[in-house]
Amino acid sequence: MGRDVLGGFEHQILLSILRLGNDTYTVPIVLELEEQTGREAAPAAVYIALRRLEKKGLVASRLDDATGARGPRKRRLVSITPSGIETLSESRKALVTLWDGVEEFLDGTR
Amino acid sequence: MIAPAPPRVLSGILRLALSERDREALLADLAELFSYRVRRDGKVRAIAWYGRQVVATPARLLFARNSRRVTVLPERPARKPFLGKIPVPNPPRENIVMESIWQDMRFAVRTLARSPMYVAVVVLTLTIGVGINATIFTMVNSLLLRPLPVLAPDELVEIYSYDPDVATPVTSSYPDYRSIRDSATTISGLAGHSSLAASMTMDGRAELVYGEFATGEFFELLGVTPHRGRLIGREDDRVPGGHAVVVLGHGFWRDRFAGDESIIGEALTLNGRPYTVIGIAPAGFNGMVHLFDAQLWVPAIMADEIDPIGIQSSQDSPGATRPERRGTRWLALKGRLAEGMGVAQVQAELDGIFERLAGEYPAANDGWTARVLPATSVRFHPLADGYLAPVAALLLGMVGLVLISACTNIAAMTLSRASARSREIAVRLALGAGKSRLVRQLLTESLALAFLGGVGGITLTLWLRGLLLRFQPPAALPTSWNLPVDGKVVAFTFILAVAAGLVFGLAPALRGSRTDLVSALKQGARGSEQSGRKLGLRGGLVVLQVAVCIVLLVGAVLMVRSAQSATQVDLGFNPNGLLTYTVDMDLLDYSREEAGAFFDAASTRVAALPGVRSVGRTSRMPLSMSYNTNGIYIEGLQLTEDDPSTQVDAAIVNGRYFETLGVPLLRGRTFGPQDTADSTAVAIVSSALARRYFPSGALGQRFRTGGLDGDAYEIVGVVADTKVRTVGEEAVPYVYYADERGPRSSATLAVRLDRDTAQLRAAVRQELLALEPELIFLDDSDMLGILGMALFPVRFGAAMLVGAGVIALLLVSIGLYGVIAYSVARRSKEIGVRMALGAARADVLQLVLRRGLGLVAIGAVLGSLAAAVLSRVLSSVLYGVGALDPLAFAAALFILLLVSGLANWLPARRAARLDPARALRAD
Repeated sequence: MGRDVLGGFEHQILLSILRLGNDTYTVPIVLELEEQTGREAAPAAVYIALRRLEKKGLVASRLDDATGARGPRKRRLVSITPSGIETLSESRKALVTLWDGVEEFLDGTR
Repeated sequence: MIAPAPPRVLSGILRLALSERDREALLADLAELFSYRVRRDGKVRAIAWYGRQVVATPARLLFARNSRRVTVLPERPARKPFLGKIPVPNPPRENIVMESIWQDMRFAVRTLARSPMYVAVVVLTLTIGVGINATIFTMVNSLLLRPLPVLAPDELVEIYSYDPDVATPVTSSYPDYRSIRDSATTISGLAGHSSLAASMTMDGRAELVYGEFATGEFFELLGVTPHRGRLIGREDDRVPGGHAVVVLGHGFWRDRFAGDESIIGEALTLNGRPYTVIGIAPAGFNGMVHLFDAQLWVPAIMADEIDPIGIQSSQDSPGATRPERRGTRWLALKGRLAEGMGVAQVQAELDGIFERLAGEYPAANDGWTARVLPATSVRFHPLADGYLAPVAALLLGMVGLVLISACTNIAAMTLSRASARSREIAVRLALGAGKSRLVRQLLTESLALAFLGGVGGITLTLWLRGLLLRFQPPAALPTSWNLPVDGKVVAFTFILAVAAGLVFGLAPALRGSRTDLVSALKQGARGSEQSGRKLGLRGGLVVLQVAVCIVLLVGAVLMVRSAQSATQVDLGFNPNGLLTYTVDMDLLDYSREEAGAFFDAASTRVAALPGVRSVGRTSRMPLSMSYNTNGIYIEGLQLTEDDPSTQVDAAIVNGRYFETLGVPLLRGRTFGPQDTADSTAVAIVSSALARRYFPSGALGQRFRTGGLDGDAYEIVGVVADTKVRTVGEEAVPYVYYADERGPRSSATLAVRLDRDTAQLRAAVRQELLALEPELIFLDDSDMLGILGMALFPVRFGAAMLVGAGVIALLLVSIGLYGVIAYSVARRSKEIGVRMALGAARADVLQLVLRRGLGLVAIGAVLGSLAAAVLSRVLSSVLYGVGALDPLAFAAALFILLLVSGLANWLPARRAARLDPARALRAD
């Protein structure tokens, strides 16, 4: 792997975006993470991670120009990029390889 | 349905804390999550959550930004996004205020770290300049600025009784206090107080305690509430001698009684009489006299049992006890302004009241008027304050000059640094750095230095404070002269440091940044001679410094000469080998007769000691802090009963007093055994009194006390004048009454020794204690000690000015050295050329010296002119030295020339030793 290793939190965020679908934003991601991991997620942490992912080219963002009931919403909609997908799949591959043959340790039988 | 919004305060804070780039998006996200959480968790938990985000969000952002300096970029640039429809936005421009301030700070630290010498000198200079200013400010703060520890001190007024003959506002009598309290409507309350000293006997041992008398309204008026028990109230202040209760000061209670609350209700023995402890005053309430810690408070109505101390004046008036006599003025009065009233209204009302009192009680009150002053304008006493304020201004002005001198060095250093940095600045400008960014950078550097200087200044202040505390005058009373370094002092220090750092650091730096791009770049970092203008400015700074230094040195020499001549002033008696022991036998519950017998026995026994020449007795030593006056009526001067008496300083002495002090008898006789209670009342007067009131001869003349038909005194002797209150005063009219006419409970024994040795002193003390083991010495010192106290202001002033002068001299040498060394370095090529062309070393030496000494000469002339004007300020505190004393000016100039010559010669010598070949090659 010639590139930056995906951090654990970044990994979770990319997966959340895939689950939520593109053009999502911080709030649904925070809620998704909380729901799936059962832990409180700091919005600032998500926000920073998204910015970092954007810098790495793994997500792309645009300002939401849809107008809500109280004027334009100041949301930054994010979508996963092909590079993001690629990184995610590489990351998954690496993890699966690593997991291979050790899953049985988890239930403590060996 | 409107979604619940987060509390506006919290979102407002967050708005301020976030940078523009993150602000809107994050606020919207958090608001949305907030309303979600309100529905899910309830409002309270949602607000708690939002509060956490307010703290965590900016912190996370800051951390993310500063910890991730290196971002690993993907191998390929980002391609079109997955779904093709979202354009990849450009990365936002990194221009966040926080970020750039952080950057400025890092850059400032890096830049400054590259020139540690510059930093060290600037910080050290600031430390010295700011530190001594803050120290003096600490003194002024503790003496003049800190308010009394009472409720609303600005509503308080001080009320003095004023007699045009005494020409000094004095304290008031207890009956007058009651009259004013009961009739004045412009004040909502009136309280009286006075200092006191008493002997406290505990476990068979007597000790001297210091405290205050308080009238019944005292604590209530000042808004002081007890720490424990109760304080003195109206019910404790009714019957003269009838309220033996005492309130303990917090510190005294804590230290002397180990903070034991069960002391309340117990009795203390004061002057032999038991006083019930009714309460403890709160911590921090030290009483009404600045710098002194009152240990206890006793009702003012008890003032006949315990003697008040402080400024008093007495005229004969009816009454069995001190609180009953209208003519005995000893209470300081403080009133609280009634709603909507001012000092002027109180003064107007009191004018009427005093007029009425003068009509009702002419013997005691005729001629007396009231003086009302805002309490905040009075620190100790209007008279003492009159001296203190100019002294404080003088000290602040003096150290202000030192600060200017220090700042001059900083300016000079920054200036040379700025020209050295002109290339760096030019490069940065050429590369597109904004002027404002550059200014901000220099500002950050200046602030960093100012901050360090401020820290140094505070440190120096704390250190100097310790030094000053050691310098405090020896006082028998518990003092709280503790020079607190409080918030005001810290604020003063940092404001000073920042102001000094900015004005003298940033301004030259800015000047330096106004660089001519092309020439600075072309010139490079070689450092050839700069335009003459900048050296001219640096030279000008040295001139200023030299001038300031001359002013301080002249002041220092004047003060030292003054302190010297003050010790040589003829006091009218010999202060050497003269011991003084002040005792008050009342403290041990002696009767007057017993006290008289004790003094007689003590005088005889001490006089019999080998090495003791004579022992005299007096109620007051010259130059001690006693300002008591006595009203006398001189035939021909006071014609009617209504004429006010003549106020003169007075003492009660025995016949041996004059011999013991060495005051020559000019005419007539001194007191002797023939003067008894039954014989004709006699008095001895000073030569000044005789000259003023009895120009045709004082011997055999009479004066009276207590009215035109009061007791008559016959003048039986005239003695030479002595100094009475201050060393600098003109001859003062002085009356001596005969101690032989009746025993008194307190006196000062003056003991003249043949040779002043420690053994002899111990023997005298032992002899006195052998007579009375419980004897309490109110004062156990010697005339030189008393003289030292009297000269304390002069000596202290001299020490301060010498200190300031030395520091200024040091700063001048550094400044001068810097300028000359800098000029030598810049001109090394020129010097090399000159030497290569045959200039001798002496020529080079002369070349360099001429410039430095030229600057010194200009500064010295300007400084001397300034000193001639400014030294007049000192004239009121100078003894025996004129403000334009030529010797002082000569000495100051000599010292300056000597030191500046050295500071000049060192770099000049280096220039003369320059190897011309190397100087030229260095190009």
